[in-house]
Amino acid sequence: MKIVELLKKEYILFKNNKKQLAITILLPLFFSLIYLFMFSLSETGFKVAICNLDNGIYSGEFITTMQNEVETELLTANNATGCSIQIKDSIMKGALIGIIVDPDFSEKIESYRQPVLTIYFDNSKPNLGFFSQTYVNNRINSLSTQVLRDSEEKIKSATFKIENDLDSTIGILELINFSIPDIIRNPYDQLYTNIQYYKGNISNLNRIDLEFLVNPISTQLVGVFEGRNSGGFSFSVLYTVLNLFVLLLLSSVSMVYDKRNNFLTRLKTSTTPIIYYIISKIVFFSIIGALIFIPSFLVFLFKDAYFSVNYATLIISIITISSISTLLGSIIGLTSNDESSSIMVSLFVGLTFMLISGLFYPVELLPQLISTSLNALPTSFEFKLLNYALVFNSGISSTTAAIVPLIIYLGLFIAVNYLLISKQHD
Amino acid sequence: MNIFPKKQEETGREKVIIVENVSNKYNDEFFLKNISFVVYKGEIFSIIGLSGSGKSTLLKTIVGLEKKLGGTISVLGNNIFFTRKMVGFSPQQDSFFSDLSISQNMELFSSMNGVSYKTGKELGKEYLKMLGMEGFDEKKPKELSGGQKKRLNIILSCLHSPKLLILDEPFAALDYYNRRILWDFLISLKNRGITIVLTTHLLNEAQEYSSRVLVLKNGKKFGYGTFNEIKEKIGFNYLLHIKMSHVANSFIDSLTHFCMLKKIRIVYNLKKELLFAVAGGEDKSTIEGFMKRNNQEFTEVEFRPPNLDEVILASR
Repeated sequence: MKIVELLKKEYILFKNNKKQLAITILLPLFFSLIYLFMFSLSETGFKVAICNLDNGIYSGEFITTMQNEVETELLTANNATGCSIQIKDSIMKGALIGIIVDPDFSEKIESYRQPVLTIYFDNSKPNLGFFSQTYVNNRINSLSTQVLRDSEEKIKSATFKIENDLDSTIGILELINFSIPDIIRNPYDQLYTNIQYYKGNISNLNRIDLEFLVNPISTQLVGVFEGRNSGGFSFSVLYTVLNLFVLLLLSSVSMVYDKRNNFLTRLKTSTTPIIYYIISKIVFFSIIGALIFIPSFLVFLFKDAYFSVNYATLIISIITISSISTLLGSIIGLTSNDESSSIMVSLFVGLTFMLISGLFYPVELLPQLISTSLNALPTSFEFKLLNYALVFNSGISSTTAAIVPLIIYLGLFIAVNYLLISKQHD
Repeated sequence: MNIFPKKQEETGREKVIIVENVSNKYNDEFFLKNISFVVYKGEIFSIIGLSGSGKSTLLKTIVGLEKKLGGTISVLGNNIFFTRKMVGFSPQQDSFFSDLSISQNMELFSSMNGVSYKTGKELGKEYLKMLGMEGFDEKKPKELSGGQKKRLNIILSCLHSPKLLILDEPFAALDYYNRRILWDFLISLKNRGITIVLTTHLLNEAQEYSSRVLVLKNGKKFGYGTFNEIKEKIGFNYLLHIKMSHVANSFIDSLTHFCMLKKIRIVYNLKKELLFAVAGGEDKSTIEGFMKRNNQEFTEVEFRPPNLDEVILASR
């Protein structure tokens, strides 16, 4: 009854606070969508300025490819300096990148030499350089393949003719073999051997795959968890970070609000045990944790992430993860003087955890001491627990490696909360 | 386990609070020093003193919000941990949720003390009516005036029908009208058998409405008992107020010296106006005699029994 009334109070206060409602609904959606779009960037609005100084067929094909895919502005300059000026001007006016096609672009390709495309980008935007080069490389991929195939065809047609001519020569040599005078027998034999040798080499050349010359060793990426794409694993990390981020903010602010209204004094002078209050916070924010889960999960499901869900383990995971985030938020609230400082600390902790979560770069590459410390944090056990529940369809008994450390953290955080509430002064 | 068996006064009055040699520290300094007193059932007991004298700390120590360093405290015959259900505590600051309606606040706080929200709300409505706030149930506290908020703060502390109500500065920042309403309410609670302990710096009102008081000064017990008992102990039965048209500094100095010798306290010294704390008519004659011997002209403004304010003032 007492816990129900405390839950009711949390619910009404939460419902009345429009900002908190907005955070709970919008933040998970925003995070999930941004995360997904980051790995499947749209080309809408991508504008390229091209200055073509070449009149050959390959530059023409390249420009057609670009025009078919993105908004392309063709510049009119007829020399490198003029192109450079016009491209810089276009970038200032909104083009994301500018490309100069050299005058000998097609000629070089035709004579089997490597041409260069010069890409201009706005280097005041740090991420655009790498992205621009990757983008143009991807666009010219088909053209490169086409050039490779054309070259291969030309080379092979030439070598095939040589091979045929050598075959005819060998036939003629064999035909006149018996009529060769002894005086030229040795040079004849030497010539015959050489022609045989050239023919063997030309035959080998005919069999060569030209892609071998461009990329002699290829790689193939195979996930050890067969049949599972990285979507489910990414979701585990994303949800854990999201849960921490949102619940830290909500729970710490809620605690500061309770403190501001002297509720802790009322609590300590009432017959309600402090632990009931802590439980009510955990229950309420676990419900919020579940609500955050649903939209993000649906977004990932829609984007074909692989999931094989064990529902019992999932419910326990959400409760455990939300409880830890709630208790950590309460500690922040209990040690903060006002709402703004609790929000600042929550943001700091949330952003730090986000950066060290492995969402954006592999934490394994950090110095060993740091990566080992990160593995001991509750979040790394939370990732594992969610993977058990969402990707590996594991029953709770198979999750001891993750759930036991989390229960220890849970106990520790409850004790800290209890102590701080007991010691709290008005 | 009852570690504090209920004690009965020789007169038969039941002791609701027994505080014996209680001390408390704040920032490594003793804030309360060996405080002892008793509160009897059914009385209004005021703890009075100047700001910083330790009134609130003492109340918080009694209700278990502050840890005591020594001594024993018995509340309703036991440790507060076991008797909390029978005690209501109203903190000095407004302690409710401004975003919940008064009715929702009443539901929450009654249920937190083990009373069904229906019972709590019914009692709350009755108290609202008694305090001139009938029909306010669905209002939010942020819509209330300062005085109404104070009243609500107290109502929320007694929804579980406590036997003992402890109030920390319930009259702070209230005007006379609001104080009057609150005193009437407390008296009606007293008439229902509820014992009330409160802190206040409004000494005259405490004198008027409390049966007994505890006077604290710098964390120490300065006076304790009925008003007359305190007056007697301090030796201050009358107040003599005189005015002088012309007075020399040298005369004031010699008068001060004379009063020290005669153990008469000068409460106020405004040069041309003096207030003396005197035990009786004999002290009055002594002062008048000194004036006449020194040819100092004066007029007597008043000679009367002091109020509690003046007694405390005299003891500074």
